Amino acid sequence: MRRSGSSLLFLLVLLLLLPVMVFSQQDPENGEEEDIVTPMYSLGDQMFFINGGIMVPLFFQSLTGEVKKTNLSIGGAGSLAWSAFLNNKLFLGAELGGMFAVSPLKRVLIQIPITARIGYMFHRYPFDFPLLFGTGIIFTKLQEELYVGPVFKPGFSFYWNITNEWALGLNCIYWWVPQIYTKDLKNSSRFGNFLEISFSGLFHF
Amino acid sequence: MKTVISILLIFFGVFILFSCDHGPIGIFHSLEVETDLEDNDSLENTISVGDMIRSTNDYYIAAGSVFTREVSSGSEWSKVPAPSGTDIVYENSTEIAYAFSKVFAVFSNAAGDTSTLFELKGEAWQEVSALKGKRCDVLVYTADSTGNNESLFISVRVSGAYSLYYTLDGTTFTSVPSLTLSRPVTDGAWVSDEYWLLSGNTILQGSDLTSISEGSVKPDTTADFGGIHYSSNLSVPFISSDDGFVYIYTEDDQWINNTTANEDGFYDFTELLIDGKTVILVGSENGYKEMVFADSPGDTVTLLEPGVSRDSLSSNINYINTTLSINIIRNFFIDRNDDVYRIFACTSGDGLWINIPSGTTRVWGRE
Repeated sequence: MRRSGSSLLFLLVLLLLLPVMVFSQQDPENGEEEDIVTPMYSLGDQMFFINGGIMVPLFFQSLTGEVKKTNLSIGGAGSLAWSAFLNNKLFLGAELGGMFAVSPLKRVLIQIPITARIGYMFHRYPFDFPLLFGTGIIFTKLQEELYVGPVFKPGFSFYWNITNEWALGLNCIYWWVPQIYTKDLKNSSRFGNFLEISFSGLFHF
Repeated sequence: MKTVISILLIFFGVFILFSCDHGPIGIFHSLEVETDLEDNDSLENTISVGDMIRSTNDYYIAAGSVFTREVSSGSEWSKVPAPSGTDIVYENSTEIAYAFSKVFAVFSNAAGDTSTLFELKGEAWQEVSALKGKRCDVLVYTADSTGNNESLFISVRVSGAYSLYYTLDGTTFTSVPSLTLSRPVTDGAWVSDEYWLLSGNTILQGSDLTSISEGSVKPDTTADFGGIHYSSNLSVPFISSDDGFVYIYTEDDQWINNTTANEDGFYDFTELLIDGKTVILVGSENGYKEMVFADSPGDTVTLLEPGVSRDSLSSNINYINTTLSINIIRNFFIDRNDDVYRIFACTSGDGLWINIPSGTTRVWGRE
């Protein structure tokens, strides 16, 4: 048991060092070690993402700052996204997503965000680490009620490029969903806070 | 730049436009006030409950059959066998009353051409001989705030009209002389040493039951009255009407009411004290409304939506998200046990609901 734990630790260290070893090359002429960074992406390179995972409802916050439980179950989340690189690191795109979670009374909360998103990708071949920020509109449905409002989705991902075209990874995206009501419903205004943790398939083209 | 600003304005305009039409509570807010729905599970959730009473140790409801359970929490409901020994199948009962330490109920047959007053003796129903052969209809119990001055009224159908019987001891039943009503007496209260009894749009008033008659103190409406309640805390009577108004007869001898009619007609009241405030609930064709009084009523009546309004106190949990908020509540029954209020809501077709404290708030569940 202890031996297998040590092996796993060694493997993890090896994986972490791998990008460093790949990026570090020996200069054959002067014998000095220098970093040679080859741009992986350029303007026009595109990506298509398929994401699926869980949605963790975190909390609701009122306009006065009061924080309350959502009472929702852990739900599911999924999305399709497309992005195009502006340069080696910066990319723009759009995303169509969806989530569901179930209330104690078996009511199903469904949210469908349509967002524009911008990302900044750190490269450590064969790994990519995109930082993401998306914003757009979100359709929130609960039984007969529908609310259309804004959504803000900051997050980050981790990808392992298994081939030149395909990468697999993990997303961790925060959903901040303001529901602002006016007049008689002013007291019902809430900021919804959710955390999406999803697996992702990424296709470069 | 102008294009970007225009797009942003259109974008926010669209979601503001969409977000204008909503129910009585925001989506996230409604989830916030939701918990698992407790259900006693021993009572059908689709029954119509006419009324509810408590004897010393047991609750009773009239819901077609009469059901009973012990007062202690978690007790299961069981059916009280219908009256036997006759050739009529008694199965329809929506009237029940507890007066003079006795349980009374009216049972009618399936065809609805007989309706008889019975008293529960032990586990068997015994016909009240004083009203034998009469077509008994609604039972109305009144008493003062201390439980004294008990009276039980029975509307008796006579050739398309109603006469009124009463008992002051549970044994002797007397007819109010020279009184013929077009509608049965549906509710009553003991108001400042007077009986106030509702019959359609009429209020019978008087301290002497042998001469009770239509009174002069009455809200200015032609609508039928739904319920009456005398607040022992506020020392004022409340009357509801089926056109969506609640009237309060203030200490200044003035009627005040809500300025805008509620969309649904009102029925019965109940009262409790929460955080030192008097909380009055009034049942309606769509759930119930709430009135909160820190002091005497002011110039108008403010009706709150329970579980939605920040000022409402009776139920923050599992009201607006459940069918209780959209079903008819004709009657409330309140039971104060060791300073803990249990409120029961008798619905039409949606069973019996119970409201109990839960932490710092109150929660609705099913019986």
